[in-house]
Amino acid sequence: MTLRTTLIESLETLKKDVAMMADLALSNIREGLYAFKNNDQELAKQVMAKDSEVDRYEEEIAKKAIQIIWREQPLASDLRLVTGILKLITDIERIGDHASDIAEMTLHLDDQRNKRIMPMTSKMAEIVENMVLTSIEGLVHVDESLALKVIETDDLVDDLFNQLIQKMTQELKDDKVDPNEAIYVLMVAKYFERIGDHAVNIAEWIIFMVSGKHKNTPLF
Amino acid sequence: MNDSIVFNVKNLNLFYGEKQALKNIEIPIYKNQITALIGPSGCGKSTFLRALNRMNDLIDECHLDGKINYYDQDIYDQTMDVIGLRTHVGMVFQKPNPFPMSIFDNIAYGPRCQGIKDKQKLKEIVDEALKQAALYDEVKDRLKESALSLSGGQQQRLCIARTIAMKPDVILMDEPTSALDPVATLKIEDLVVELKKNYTIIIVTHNMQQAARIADKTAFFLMGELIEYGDTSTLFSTPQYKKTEDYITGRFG
Amino acid sequence: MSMLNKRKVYDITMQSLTYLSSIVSIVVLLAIVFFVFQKGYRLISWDLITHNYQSVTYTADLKEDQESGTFISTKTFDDGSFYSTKWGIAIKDDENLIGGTSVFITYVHPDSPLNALNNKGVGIEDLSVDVDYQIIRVAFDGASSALAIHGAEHMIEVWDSQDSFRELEFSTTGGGIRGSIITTLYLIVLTLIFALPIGVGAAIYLTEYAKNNRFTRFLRQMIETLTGIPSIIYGLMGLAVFVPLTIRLTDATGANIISGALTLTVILLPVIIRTTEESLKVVPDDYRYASLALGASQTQTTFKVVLPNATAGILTATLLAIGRIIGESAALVFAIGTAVKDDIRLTEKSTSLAVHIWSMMTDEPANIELSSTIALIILAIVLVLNISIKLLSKRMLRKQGVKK
Repeated sequence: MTLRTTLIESLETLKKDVAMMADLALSNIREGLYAFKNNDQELAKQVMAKDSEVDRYEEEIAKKAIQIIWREQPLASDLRLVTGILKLITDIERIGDHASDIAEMTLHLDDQRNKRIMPMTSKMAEIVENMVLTSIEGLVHVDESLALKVIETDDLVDDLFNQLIQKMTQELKDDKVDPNEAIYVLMVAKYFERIGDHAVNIAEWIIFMVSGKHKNTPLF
Repeated sequence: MNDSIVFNVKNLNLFYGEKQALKNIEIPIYKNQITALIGPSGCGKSTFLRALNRMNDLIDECHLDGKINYYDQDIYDQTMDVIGLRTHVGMVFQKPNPFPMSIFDNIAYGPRCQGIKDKQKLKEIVDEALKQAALYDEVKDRLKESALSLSGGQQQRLCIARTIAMKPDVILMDEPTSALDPVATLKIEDLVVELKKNYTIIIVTHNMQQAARIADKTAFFLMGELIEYGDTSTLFSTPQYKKTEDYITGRFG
Repeated sequence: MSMLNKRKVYDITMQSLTYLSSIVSIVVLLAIVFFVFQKGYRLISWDLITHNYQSVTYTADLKEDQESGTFISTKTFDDGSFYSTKWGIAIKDDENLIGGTSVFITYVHPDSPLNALNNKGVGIEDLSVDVDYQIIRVAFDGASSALAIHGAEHMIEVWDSQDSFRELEFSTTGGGIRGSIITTLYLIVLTLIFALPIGVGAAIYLTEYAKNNRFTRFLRQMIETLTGIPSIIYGLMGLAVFVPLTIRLTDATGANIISGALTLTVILLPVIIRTTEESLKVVPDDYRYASLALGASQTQTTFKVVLPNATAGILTATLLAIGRIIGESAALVFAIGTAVKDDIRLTEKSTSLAVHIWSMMTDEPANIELSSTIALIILAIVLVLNISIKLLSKRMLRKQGVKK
């Protein structure tokens, strides 16, 4: 006979909710980028509206996590899971905000994007989206190795961002690109870089769930 | 950690007749700390506790091998004075068991058995013990009344006072709060934390939150074996062994 | 529906059966008490308890310096007594202790010459008459003897008409059971002195110290068996062992009280051991553990904690023992004898109340009334003991704070 079925089910539900919250944020990122690339104002507005859903998820998950704490008095790995989740949903919510910000950038420009500078941002976007995906997988399976992969990948993102800045500077000097457009593309790239950082935060909390240490500091 | 060791148990194997109740137990108990023994029913934690003050001697078919050193004396050595040992290592039981005598006589029982007759001295001992057990204010006007007129929680504190009156070194507690209501339980937990300043305490408990609340070190027993022993914070947050983890998170009874 | 009713009926029937059983038991008990009471209450008197069994008959005459005179008494004798002013004595007809009629002295004037008599027989020289003595015969020189069967009135008439008498035959009161009562008391005390320490000691050993091995179990089994042996067998044993033993060790010449007490001790030991064991076992182990954990030795634990708590049970055992002692007749017939004596010595034959009953009933004719009276007295003693032990126990329990 399994014991603590209530606890086990509650924890599973919690993880699923977090996965769904992250999924929503991820789809917002994709749609936001698409809207920006293709100047889809309608889509952009939709994405911005959907961010409130992401926020609602955060409230719901926080509520459930706190309930598990007072009802079940979790210990050991259960405790680490619940407290870890409480922390990382903040980062997912920030990711959602950034997705909305990216969509919002669309509203400031009129035409299609310049084909010269978009590709690098797109490359960044792809890598970052992957990071978010991997971190969520790492959460659902509580897998430390996936978390570590995410952390490593962030260096790549930072590199790409620096390269983008250099390229952008050069293009502007050469007067090959509209400065207004360049600024917004840069901002989008910056948002992606921030999303990457948040994915790293999530990964660090996953490592805490496994080891009890956050960024090498034991929290017990 | 430079804490001195009060009990050092090496290679303890204990048997009830043919049945082995404790397998190869090795554990140091540190001075002025609260050590909690947790584990499912029948895992041997109470048996282990009783081995420390040789109350197991009262059970006919009980025999053991291995060493239990109290400081530097093997307490199962032939020359050990068992009665003297018990004046240094006291015990509080699960069900409060005050004698059907007055409150005063209960606490004075131990000292009287040791030959103390002087009324003034006995009064001092009783008052002191009651104060240390946080019971003095509640009963100071009715020391001559029967101990059985007290509530469950008060009776248990009386038993603790009775043990303290012997001025022991170590206090063994076998699930002291499992028969009490939550408020009485918390009062005794506070008391135990206060007592550790002057005594070394080993407490068997079924209640993991209790161990988490008050113990400095926790030992997890399972089927007669000591599975894990360490700082309470570590054991409850990042236990080393899966068996410990499974027991603590309640994945098995 | 009918299933429910059937069960109800069954229930009620069973209940009524239990009520019936209780009623029958109570009725039987009451019947016995009533029977004994009815037959015996007439003879109850303080005299019965305090007087000797044997009445002594003396023949006496007046001392030299005594003579009749005039002894006016202002007492009124309205109980049927006849007073002689010449001799200062009042007598009447009354029922004697064993149910016949005799002439009793109801009053003796303090100056009456009958206070100083000479014993014509052997033994004590000075005699006197006293209230409740029986007058058997007064012999005169100048008249025919006045006999008790002629009645008190006739006796006074004749006596008053004479100035002196030749012989006065009278007997001291007898028929009392004082001797038996004293013997019974001696028996109780002696037996308890022998039996309690040994019994309680053995019980303590068995419960507190003995290991639970085959020998101990065998011992217990033996003790259990002994409780079932009919007491007359013990009586035989007493005759065979204790009587010779006491004869050798003291100046006894036959069955005596000490041998009786020893026999009773042997009868009671198993019972006392058993009951004490039970009351010791009932003391919770918790107390023993607590005491030992405080560094008390096994002896201290036994005597300071266990025994005080078992005292109520031990008192009950004592009560049972006393009841048995009082009631034990068969065994005592051999071990103590059946002589109803007045002068009780430990080393001589005597009899207890129960044996006295047996003795009365085997006389010709059987004296049921006296036996019932003695039975009533026994009942009274047992009742008093019962109540006092209950009160004692209650007092002790209250001191310990046990709420009943």
